[in-house]
Amino acid sequence: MAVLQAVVTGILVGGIYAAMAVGLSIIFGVLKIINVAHAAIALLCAYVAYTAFSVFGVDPVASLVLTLPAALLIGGAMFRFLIRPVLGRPPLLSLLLLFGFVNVLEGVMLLAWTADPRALTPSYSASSLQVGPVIFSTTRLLGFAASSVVVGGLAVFLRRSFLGRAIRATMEDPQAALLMGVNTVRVSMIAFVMGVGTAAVGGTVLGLVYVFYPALHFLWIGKLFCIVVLGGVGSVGGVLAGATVLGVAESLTATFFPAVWAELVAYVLLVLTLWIRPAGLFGRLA
Amino acid sequence: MRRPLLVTVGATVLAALLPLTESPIYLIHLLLVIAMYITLASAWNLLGGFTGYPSFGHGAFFGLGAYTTAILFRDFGLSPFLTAPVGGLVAAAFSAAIAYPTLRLREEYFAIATMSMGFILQVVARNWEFTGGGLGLYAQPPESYDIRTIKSLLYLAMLAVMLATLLVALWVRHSRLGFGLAAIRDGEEAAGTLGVPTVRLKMLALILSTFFPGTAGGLWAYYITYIDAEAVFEPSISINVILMSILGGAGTVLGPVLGATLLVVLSEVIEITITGAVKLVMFGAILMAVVLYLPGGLLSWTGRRAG
Repeated sequence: MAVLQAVVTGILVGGIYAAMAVGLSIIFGVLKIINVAHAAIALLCAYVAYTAFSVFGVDPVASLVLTLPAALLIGGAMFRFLIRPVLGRPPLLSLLLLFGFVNVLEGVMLLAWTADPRALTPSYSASSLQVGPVIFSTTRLLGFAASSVVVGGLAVFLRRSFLGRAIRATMEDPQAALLMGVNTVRVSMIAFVMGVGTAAVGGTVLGLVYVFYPALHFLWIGKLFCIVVLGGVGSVGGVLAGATVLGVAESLTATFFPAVWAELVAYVLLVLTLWIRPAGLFGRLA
Repeated sequence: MRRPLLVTVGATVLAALLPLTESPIYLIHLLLVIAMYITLASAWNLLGGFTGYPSFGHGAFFGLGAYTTAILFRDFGLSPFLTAPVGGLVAAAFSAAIAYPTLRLREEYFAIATMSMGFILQVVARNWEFTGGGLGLYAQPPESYDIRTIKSLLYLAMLAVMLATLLVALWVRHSRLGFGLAAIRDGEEAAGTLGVPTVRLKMLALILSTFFPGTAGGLWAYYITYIDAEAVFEPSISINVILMSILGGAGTVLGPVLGATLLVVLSEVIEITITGAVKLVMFGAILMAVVLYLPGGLLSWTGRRAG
């Protein structure tokens, strides 16, 4: 029974991971850039939601009205000032720039909210739903639902819309896409801003389910890397599969071993995948 | 290479005379930290600058060395002056063990893999009983010495490690190894087809690049007398080391020395006068500014190439 509960929890958590990882994966797929600031931006959104909730009593989900545009704005500014100057140059440059940006974000969060752990605690945060022997916590269900909307929406957008097709074309072969009349720089910008936008949803959900503090982004970015590498770059289905594998693996680890070792699962999976199959378990060979 | 060699040795000897004077302990502390970061940044540069494999987890090797001496002290009471090189060996052995699968990876995956390695070690150190878990480890100097003597001795040892690192960097730069590494950086496949033994050279660069941080970490554990996973496996160490190297000028011998000195002094000033959070913001801003506006580092700006 413990296993069933662990699997259910793992799937719910995996869904939550997917919302953030899908943005990272699209950015990596289109721009060949690893947005190491992804988790830090999500965390910033969680903090904004925290202030909106604790000072003005705004429900964390409703505060997306505020955090989503904020994240899109941050994404746009990042693209303009950090990404565009190094587009198509060695990946080291964008990595260093984004690490610099991460430092700034973490410092700002420390100054604004201190290093003390925070949590979003709306009235429903402690409630849960019991189906037979399995318990579903309300915040996790809510997070899973929000993530499903984001991931599902993105999947449909990428598959059906003209812009989505242009994004996928740029992912597959930027040269060919350019020759077919796709403005690849603009597509890159849209993909980047959209990807960063998913961090807002991810951050709100993160804040609802977990206790958070400024340095937490390091732990989360590791999970996201792991999912993207497991799932293969730029594939929504791959991200879903990778996120579920990670969520269930962590949850099972925490069931059978001291919970602290669950933190290790993402990194170990990540390193092993890179060593054994750098194209990702579910990805096509690039 | 005669002149840089003389300057390096001369400056180190001069710095080594400091404890003989009536200098305040704080000055010794500051110079020890500078010497340590020069070691870390120069060692990172062997792999990241000369070879073009930027490690994002070099702090891990520093931490491995620190934990090695602290554990050898706890279990066998061995002095850090003996065990610091063992710390370096452990770090180098660990890097050699992960080298084969890791050095094959493309640049961005190499960065992620090295970064993850640092996190794995941090989580293990924080939770494993053998490494003291969350309680950390103590490495206390014998009480028969006074603080000044102990600090001075560790300072001299750190200077020795720094000198060794710089001499290796100077040697690498002017040897066949250095030309081979530069060839790998500028085009690994081409270098391979021209008969450069790329795998062997990369391994050698990695081992040299991790041995010295491990040794420095071994001394550091004893210097601060208490270590835990947050203190020596902090991810910011790895990022700061990269920043120091590229601020001065990656791929040169003088660059990391310059960058480390500047940033350690700046960091001390900020931490004393303002707060650590502001330091994060400033270092982040400097990192972005260097990459965007001064990608060759300060040395390229002054137009000089040393070493």
